[in-house]
Amino acid sequence: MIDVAAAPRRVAITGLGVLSPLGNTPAEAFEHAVAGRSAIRLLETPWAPQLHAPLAGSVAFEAERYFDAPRARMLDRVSQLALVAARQALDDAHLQQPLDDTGRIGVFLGSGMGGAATSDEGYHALYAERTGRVKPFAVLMTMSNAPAAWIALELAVSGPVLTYSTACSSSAVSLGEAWLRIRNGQLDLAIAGGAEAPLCFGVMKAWEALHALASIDPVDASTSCKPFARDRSGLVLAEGAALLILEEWSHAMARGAQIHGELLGYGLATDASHMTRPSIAGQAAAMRAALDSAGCQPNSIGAINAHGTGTPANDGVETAAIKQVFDEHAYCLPISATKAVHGHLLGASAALELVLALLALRHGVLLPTMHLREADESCDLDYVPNHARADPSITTVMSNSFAFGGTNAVLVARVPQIPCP
Amino acid sequence: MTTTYERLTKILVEQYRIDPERLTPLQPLAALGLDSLGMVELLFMIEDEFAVKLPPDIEPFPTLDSAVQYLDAMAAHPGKTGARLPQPPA
Repeated sequence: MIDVAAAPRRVAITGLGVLSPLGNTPAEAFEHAVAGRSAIRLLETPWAPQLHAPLAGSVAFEAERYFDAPRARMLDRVSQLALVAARQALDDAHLQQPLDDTGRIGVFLGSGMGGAATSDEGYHALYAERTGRVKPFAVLMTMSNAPAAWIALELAVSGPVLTYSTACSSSAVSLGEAWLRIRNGQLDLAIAGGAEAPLCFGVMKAWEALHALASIDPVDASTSCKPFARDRSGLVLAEGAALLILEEWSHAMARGAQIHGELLGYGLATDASHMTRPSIAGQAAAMRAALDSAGCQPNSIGAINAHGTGTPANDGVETAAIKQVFDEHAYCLPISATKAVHGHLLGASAALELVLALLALRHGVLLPTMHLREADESCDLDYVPNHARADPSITTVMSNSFAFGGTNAVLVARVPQIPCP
Repeated sequence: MTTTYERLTKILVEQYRIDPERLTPLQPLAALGLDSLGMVELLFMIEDEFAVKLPPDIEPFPTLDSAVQYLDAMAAHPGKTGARLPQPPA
């Protein structure tokens, strides 16, 4: 259980920024998620034929729209995506740039693979092309903390600027750690979330070697990721960034900020049993810790955004863990797995999924788990299969993120009970 | 034939978006907004443009004129990549 100081403060979510395979605004991504329109496509890169299943969720993003040439050259795609999503979140929160920084603002960013594409290019230049040199900014582009550092530079943030790399739970951890610091009084505002840009040959080959990737659906490649389905075969890699503005509640109210939701709790637990095989005990412990920190009973959770990767290993274990934590209530809990349509953004997934889950609550709708024709026999809960469902009664959601390496991170959020504009 | 100076100014105008009106042979590059990282990057761009390999310990060129002198000297003596860097004018 996470130890928080006495008299904890409330944490509002006042800004959202998204660049994702589903769209480049939160509203656009949400619209496609509700409609169950998959953004998974066959890659058309020159190296794609060398992959067994060249599937991916790509972001339609042209760097020159957002950065002048000298700056763009210094930024790996992961930093470009992070910066643009951060700007979007700031704008959404109606915060002026530069921020009125008194050292009580922080940046918390999750990324599993950092500037992977720059590393890949550098190795290719050295080993394949034998150029004997790499890009002059290779270090600055590949270092894991580059996206957070660029955000801090651009916004002149002088408080804590931290990067969390816990694989697929990275941005749940970054959001949770930001939440803790606001809650316990260290900070008033944080820009938190994740960014990932892993769609380069070397990284995709590495994931392929791990036998974690989905095979191509023979009828429709866009349906290849099938969380909780009997015929699921793996995850689909994707890129993107999602940044949220977290703000101490009275700070947000005082400036008349719109409040998308409240981050209520954060639970963290580690499997410590296997690098890749998920653990029911570890996942359940993280969910229980999140409930404890949120001050919630299990039956006060109205819906779950599942980790739901579509891998054979995850989905049955996650189902069992949910049942362990929620007991009979598990059978009343609608569970959505949106990775079916946007793919697995690794370190950015948790933040994107929290945004989608919040917007779903605001709109009184449950997001569908797509491509679920027949559930696996180990997956016997309500996954909201294939069609969105209206349910305006739900106000609190749990969002699960579990990772290779065993770091399980769970967030709990709720929306204020006001109608969506 | 395009001169060394013209090829260098082309890099600065196209890659760094520097106003060509501001470019003179003796204008310090730092005054054009090239910080230390930009100076290092310029060395890589010069290698690409002129198909040369600059020594790894080379110092950034303080002015366009110093770069012209250095590159022209390299062209005149192709094997001598360790030529002493021209000093900025006093």
